[in-house]
Amino acid sequence: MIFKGMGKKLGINPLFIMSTALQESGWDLVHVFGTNSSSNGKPLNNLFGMTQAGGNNIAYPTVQASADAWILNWGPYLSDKPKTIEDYAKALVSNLRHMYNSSPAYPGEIAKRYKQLVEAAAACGINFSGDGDAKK
Amino acid sequence: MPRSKGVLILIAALSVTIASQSADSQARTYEPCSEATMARPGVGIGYKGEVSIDDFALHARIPDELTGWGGVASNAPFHGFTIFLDPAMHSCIIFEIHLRIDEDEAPKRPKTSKTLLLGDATAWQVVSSSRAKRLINIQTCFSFSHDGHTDDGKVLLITSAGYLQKTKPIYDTFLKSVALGVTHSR
Repeated sequence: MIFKGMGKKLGINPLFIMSTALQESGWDLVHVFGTNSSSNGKPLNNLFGMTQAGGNNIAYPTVQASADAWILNWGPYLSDKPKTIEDYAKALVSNLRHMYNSSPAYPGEIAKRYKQLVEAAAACGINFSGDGDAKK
Repeated sequence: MPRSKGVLILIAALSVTIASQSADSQARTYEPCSEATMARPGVGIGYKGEVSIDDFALHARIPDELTGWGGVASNAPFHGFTIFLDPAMHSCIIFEIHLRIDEDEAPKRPKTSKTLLLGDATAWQVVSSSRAKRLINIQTCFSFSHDGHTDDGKVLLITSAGYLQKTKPIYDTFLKSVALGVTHSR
């Protein structure tokens, strides 16, 4: 599972990262399966809505490549290994010259996605621990 | 017409709209630009002229001499930009767009709002004001369904009452350029 691996690598709850993917790509993962003029008709494989210099979504060769790029770009801002979704969201907007989102509402939106995922995980009987491990 | 008289007439005209919307307005009065967005002039991507984003089927044109500041890292997701209309950030146009995650997050349209079309998107406009802070907001919200999903967004003018005569025409010009679902060559 990609998010489990990302959580392990970054030492954070994988549901935090999934919250970001949900916020950007929705339940249907529209930026994963969707296309744009940069993707030559192929799926974008873009979990997090990452862009080419603020333009179109980047087309990745695989979903894993999208995950790896995200870790490379945002991992340094998560080096304190946030333990709560609030701290995670704050970390992504902590550097005013390298923010993930410029809306003051963003931390609240991410917290909402996290709550939705926790509820969905519970409904499916999945238990995610807070250290990047996921257990069924 | 003296400038001050023109401003008063414009504010009076907007007040009629505000009054008619007071019963069911969904608009909130936003804080000053500095609190409504974390974008700042000179930070992040600077958008000038034509802006086209395939993923939102969006095309817009930033008025000449102005810049839309994304305020985010260069590879961060696109969710719009802010056009600051004066150096002190008293007035700004915030353009914001996002994917609708759940249907219950669809924006609620006030009954008395004015209907507009932004390309193929349905839009509605509300005006609100904060007398205490002398701020006026003109908010145009839109929803657009394409490629199996729906995007929602807004074009928001935050301006002090004293600058309205200068800022509203810029807002109107920008708003007219915003088109969802209309194909443009890049």
